[in-house]
Amino acid sequence: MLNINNLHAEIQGNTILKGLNLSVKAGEVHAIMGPNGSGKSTLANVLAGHPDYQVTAGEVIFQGADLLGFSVAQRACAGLFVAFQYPLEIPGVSNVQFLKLALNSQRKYRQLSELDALDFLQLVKSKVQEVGMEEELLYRSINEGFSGGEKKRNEILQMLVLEPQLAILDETDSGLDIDALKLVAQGVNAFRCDPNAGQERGLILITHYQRLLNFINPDFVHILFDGRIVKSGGPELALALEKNGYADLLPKGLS
Amino acid sequence: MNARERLLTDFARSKAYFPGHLLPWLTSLRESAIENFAAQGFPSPNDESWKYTNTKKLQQTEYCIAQQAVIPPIDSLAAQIKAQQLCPDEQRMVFINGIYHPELSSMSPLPKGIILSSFAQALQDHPKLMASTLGKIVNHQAQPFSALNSAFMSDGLFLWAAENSQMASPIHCLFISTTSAKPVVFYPRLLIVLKNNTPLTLIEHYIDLSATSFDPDMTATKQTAGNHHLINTVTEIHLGSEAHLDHYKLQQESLNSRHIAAMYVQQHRASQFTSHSYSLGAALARCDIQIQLTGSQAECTLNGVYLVDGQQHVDYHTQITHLAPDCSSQQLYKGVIQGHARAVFNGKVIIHPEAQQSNAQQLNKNLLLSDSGEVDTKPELQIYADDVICNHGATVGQLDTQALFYLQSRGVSQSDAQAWLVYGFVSELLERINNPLLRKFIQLSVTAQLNRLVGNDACDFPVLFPTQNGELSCR
Repeated sequence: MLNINNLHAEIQGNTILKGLNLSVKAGEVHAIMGPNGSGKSTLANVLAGHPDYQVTAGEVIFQGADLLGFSVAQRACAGLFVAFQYPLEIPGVSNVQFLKLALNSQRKYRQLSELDALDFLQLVKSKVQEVGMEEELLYRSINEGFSGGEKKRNEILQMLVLEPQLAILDETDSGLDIDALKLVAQGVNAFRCDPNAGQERGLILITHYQRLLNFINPDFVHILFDGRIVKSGGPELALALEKNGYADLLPKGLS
Repeated sequence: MNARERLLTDFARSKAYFPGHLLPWLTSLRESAIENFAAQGFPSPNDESWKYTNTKKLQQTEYCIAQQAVIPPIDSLAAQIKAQQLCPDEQRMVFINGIYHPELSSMSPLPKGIILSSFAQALQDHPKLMASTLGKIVNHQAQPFSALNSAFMSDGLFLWAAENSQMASPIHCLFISTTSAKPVVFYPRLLIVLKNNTPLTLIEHYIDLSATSFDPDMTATKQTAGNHHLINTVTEIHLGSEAHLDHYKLQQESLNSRHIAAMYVQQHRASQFTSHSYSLGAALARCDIQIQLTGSQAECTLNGVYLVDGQQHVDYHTQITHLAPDCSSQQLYKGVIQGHARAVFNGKVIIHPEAQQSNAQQLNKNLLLSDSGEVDTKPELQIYADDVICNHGATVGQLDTQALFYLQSRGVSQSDAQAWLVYGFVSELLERINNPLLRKFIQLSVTAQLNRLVGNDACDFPVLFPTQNGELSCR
């Protein structure tokens, strides 16, 4: 589903990703962990097409297509979703109307009929319940005045409504209390195992903490350091990390 | 002959034919106004308040007075006028090239205590009431265009509300300019007097209708060439104690027209004045708004939106004078500037020594969408009292690239994302329109103009309606 080969990327002249390789198959859950500044959020932003980041080498193949040749909107329409670490507040743009615009933009791209207001509202209300969000937040401006936890739930709500093929969750767990974390994890699991999805969905979790992985079991855990994946393994890698920190896991002399 | 001389000659020729020419008080008002104009002439770029707005082209155009304009067959207008209806219960007064047309208007019986009439008719029916107020708060000495209006005014609105009178239905003054062979000037005059404790809603609405520029679905200006005309309009508003006026202005004229407007408001104790001003059309649109808070606890709120593109030039000059204690004034003006358009904002607040406990807030925010657009914004505060709260601010910014990215990252196209962000920038002001029908009409006009500004296909941009009641409504 996703193949990242030798990806190099920079921001404002600083090279952050230095030859990253990663392969995600449909149905797999990958966790990416790593110390601050190792390039985790850069990876998420580069895949989403953030204009501040420049790809200087490498390729990304998503569902057989050259992802880096797509515009930001095309990437989303092709089925890629990034739940951002710091979701933006956008005053004056209604949350629910934005969601409807986004969904219908994607449906149009896929040559599906657009949902009317009633069908859309029914859909969005059921998803709102799944993530345990206050319905009132739908009618506010996007993320404006939302608490940290509400912003993260709003990202997950967008994911559930847009139903991407591959979702990248960038530190969605940080800022959530334990109850919220459980709810969000439930939502993510439901998304993964949705019997209506045409294809099994892929998931990349970027996180600092084992805690999230208790609720969403990863198939693979990768450690990102200095712009490269330096170690990969199963769930036991995250447990080891939680216990001993990065010192033992990183190449000698790097930590 | 220069423009000033031409106008003086025009005045001398026409003065015997103006409405009310047999009323001595009116004749002397006109004579004194034309003298004031003659003494000043047209503003030059050396005048501080006209520093950024040049009237040279306006002076070079030989405008003839409106009566000579061709009026298209009335039948062809009726349907187009119907499309401009804002609310089903409105009192609609239709003016063609500045002249009131009762047969095109839609008036229902008026409640007790309310006089609503065309300006020319009122000069016949209510000369005494008019003599006591007309021109009293208009600045002829320093506003040459207002002086010209007082000299040449021939029709418009007279609204008088006696103490404690009530009228729920809004008054919609629809000023329509039509195609004409020659450039035309007209001088609408609106005189509004609300006595103590009267609430009212008034809409001033300026549009063009012609075979080429009229768009049956949309009321906003089109990019096509329209009528060459000049509107020089003056609105005088007297608010008694606890009177309350919601004033709307929607200016959607064609891109060849010029619109010079002045509004003078005098507010007595605990009166409330709210202005919602939308400047979307015209090559040149200049609005002077001068408010005097003469009674304690008076409140005024000025909301303004201007959306300009191409070679358009828009200029708002506001002046609020706090003369009594415990008054408040709030101003929020937001503008979007595209192409080579230019926007000017000058907000002056004067707090006199006796106006203690004044609260004056002023904010002007501009969104510049092109490198060749220009904004000149200047707040001016003169404070002579010590116990006051005053704030002012002015910003000029561009679309937030992070916000654009965020919207696009969910699959929204770049042009839609731009349109929505620009809409988000001005929507705060649309939400302040309390009447839902009026809000909807103005929203349609605003979104049509925004689509033009961002080069979006109008069909793809959903029209947004407020969601504060949980209502969701997209076209």
